[in-house]
Amino acid sequence: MVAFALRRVLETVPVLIGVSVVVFLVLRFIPGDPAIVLLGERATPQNVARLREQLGLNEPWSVQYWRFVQGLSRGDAGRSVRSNRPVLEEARARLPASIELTVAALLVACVLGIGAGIVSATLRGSAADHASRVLSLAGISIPIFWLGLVLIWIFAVQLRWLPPDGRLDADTRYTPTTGFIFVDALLQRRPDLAVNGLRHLILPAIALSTVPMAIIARMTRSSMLEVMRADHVRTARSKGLPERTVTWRHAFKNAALPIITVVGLQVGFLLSGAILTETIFAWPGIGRWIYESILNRDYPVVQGMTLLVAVIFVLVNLVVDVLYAALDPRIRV
Amino acid sequence: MRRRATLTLGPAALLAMQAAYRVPLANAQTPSGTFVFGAPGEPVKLDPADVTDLESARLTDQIFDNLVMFDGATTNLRPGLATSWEVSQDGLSYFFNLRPGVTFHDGTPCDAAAVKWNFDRWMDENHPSRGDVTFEYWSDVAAFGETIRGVQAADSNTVQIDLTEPQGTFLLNLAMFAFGIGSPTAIARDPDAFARQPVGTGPFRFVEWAPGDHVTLERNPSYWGAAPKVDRVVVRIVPDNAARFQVLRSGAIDMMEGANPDDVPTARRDSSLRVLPRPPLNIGYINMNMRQAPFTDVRVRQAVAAAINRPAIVEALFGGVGEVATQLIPPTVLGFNPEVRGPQYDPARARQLLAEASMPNGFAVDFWVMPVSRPYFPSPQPIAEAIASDLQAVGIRANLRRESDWGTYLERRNKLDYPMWMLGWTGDTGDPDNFLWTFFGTYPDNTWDNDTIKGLLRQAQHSSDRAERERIYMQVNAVAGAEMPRVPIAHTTPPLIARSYVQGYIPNPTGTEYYNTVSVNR
Repeated sequence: MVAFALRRVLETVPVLIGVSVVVFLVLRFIPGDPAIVLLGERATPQNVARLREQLGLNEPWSVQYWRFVQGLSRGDAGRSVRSNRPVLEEARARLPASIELTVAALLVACVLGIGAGIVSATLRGSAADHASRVLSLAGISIPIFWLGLVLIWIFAVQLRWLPPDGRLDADTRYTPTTGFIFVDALLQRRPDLAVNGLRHLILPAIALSTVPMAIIARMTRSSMLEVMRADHVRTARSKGLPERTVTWRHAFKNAALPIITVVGLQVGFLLSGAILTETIFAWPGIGRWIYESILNRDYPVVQGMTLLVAVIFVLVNLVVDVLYAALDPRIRV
Repeated sequence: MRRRATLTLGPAALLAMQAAYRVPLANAQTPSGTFVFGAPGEPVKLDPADVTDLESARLTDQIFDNLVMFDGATTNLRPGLATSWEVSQDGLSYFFNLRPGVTFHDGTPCDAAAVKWNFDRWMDENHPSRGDVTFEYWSDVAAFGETIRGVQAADSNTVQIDLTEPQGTFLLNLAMFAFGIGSPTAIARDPDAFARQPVGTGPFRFVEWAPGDHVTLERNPSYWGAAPKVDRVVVRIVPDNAARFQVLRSGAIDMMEGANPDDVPTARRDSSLRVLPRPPLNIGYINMNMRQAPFTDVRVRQAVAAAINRPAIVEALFGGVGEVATQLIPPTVLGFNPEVRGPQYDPARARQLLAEASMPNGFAVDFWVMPVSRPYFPSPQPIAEAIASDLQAVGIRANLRRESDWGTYLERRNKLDYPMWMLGWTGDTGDPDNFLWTFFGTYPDNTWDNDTIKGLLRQAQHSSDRAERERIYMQVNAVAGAEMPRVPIAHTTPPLIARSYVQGYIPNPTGTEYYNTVSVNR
């Protein structure tokens, strides 16, 4: 098992090198000069030339790439072109927000998605099945932008039950220790922080969970339906096992593999791709930051963060593979 | 403190939620003293001299003071760190008498030596505490690199600034956000860190900056001017216009900038909200490449101008915050020429002009649309569509073209890749030079190769005689009104929206607004 995990870790090295090269090149192939974006309406050729010099953009690509790699080897992803802040320093401030939102959204998505999928599969053709299928279709097709605004309008503007924006109330005094609000609430012994943070987390987590919930529900349903037709399930039933045991122990455990894959993939997507949710709910995560940095042609941020997201993707994949191996002995070879 | 609705019925989960809601309220500290402003974007850096964007300037305006400052809702000047100033006969030397006893937020004195130190840092590219900066406003917008010869501390409370030639815009330039005076001690310690932890003399001092989320300031108890009326200022970053408006309605923020045009009428109808228009200091226009046919012909440009129903477009598409522009500078700016009435909507005349230019059947042209909204064109796509349909009516077939992103758009218009495009300008100082030199001076997107105009503009730059400058700018506006190098469309009064309990906020045309006059009585 350890050897298996180790081999998988080593396999990721060429992947990450490849990602760094591709991101570096793609950024430089897309049109739009960072110096011009930075200067806006005032971009005269003289200003642009001066800024390009300052940003090191006049160097050959090979030199720029080498600088980037050299920096990484020192644990330095460079400084944002726009703000002149170290990329990793800013990432440290934003990553916890993204992780908390991702975990919360996945939690909602898994509980509701797997639940709906199982109900759908076990009561195939029933009203519950139809309802859950309609819901998952809606989850996929409702634009997050619209859903986010509707949630804010109902729960923040009309009912005033939940706050619409950010991670904490504006007048909260909070000095981050780890940056994770719920961890810091424990470390700093501040239950108010946890409650405050939780209230802010609810609406964005619901909005962000809709797509993965729908995907998980559909995957659970089809995977369960397939397994329910399998021989061992029929055997289990014919042995006279109660339906609940059949569903959970014999069917769901076998149906879980593709569901885990889907959930694993979603972690990566949610972490860096929650751009709309982060925008609507003013959530200070990395998705919006990467997106804005692409628009601003902020090369160091996009390079550094894409690589970081790639590392996370790879790690999550690794965890999924290890889980696979744990669940299915056939894979451990 | 947020207002709450009383929950009378609902499932248990919601009751639990409501109960949980009460906890932070019990723990909240002096919440009534916090002014929460919802900003559309994140500040970039807080070293004022290195700032080029409004989001950063919004904060540096609170943290720093200038020698002279904009007064209330005008672009007139009032004393800042300097209580008074004198100009030498030849217009080449300015003497600023500093306010005695002012200290920076770190306790160090803001005296003549400190002011000189700031100027030296901006001026000298090899200054040891310069940091990794561009100082664009110093070198380009104010052109101080060329005009300021040197700065001396004449005595501990008098600063002398010597110019290379008289500059009519000198004092106004000094009032721009970029020339806030910072603590030499704090800057020298680490110039790059200073941009994230600024130290000035302003009414509020910096507390924290949570990236992507908010910046917090707190009251400077020893401020020399009007004492701040709130304990804290939190500028919260809420990127989406529609969401920001909903956040304002929920009461989570007290005030906001950057509303969608559609939301402004809603805000006007809502008694708990107040719309505060910022006096206009911008212009949205259509530019044409006058070095290429058909726009080489003045009649074609006039035809374009006459074909566009500007009043209808401003009425329908600017959310009630636009005014039809008669010329390329707004009415509040020196040199605005009331006799220039601007192009009149007259399709018949447009057709006639085209016929006179030997194009009775019109022509086809690529018309490039801004890919982002800016204050002067709040919704570029529908505005461009309306313009194109007006042009179509007189035979000018404008194909709307859209660039993928703003950077590419700006780059290509500078290369004159577009025959016709929309753009605009937001003034920095309220001085006409800041508009007209930008349009008709040496910027690469100026295709009006008119040396007389350039000469006039230079003459005005070097004059400190207000009447003379006014006369020159009125003349330039009159010529531009006839030659139509750019078609002025609209000025906008960018709306700020506040909850009605916010008092004392004074919108300024330059966007330089000081929060020490703001009080919040929820």
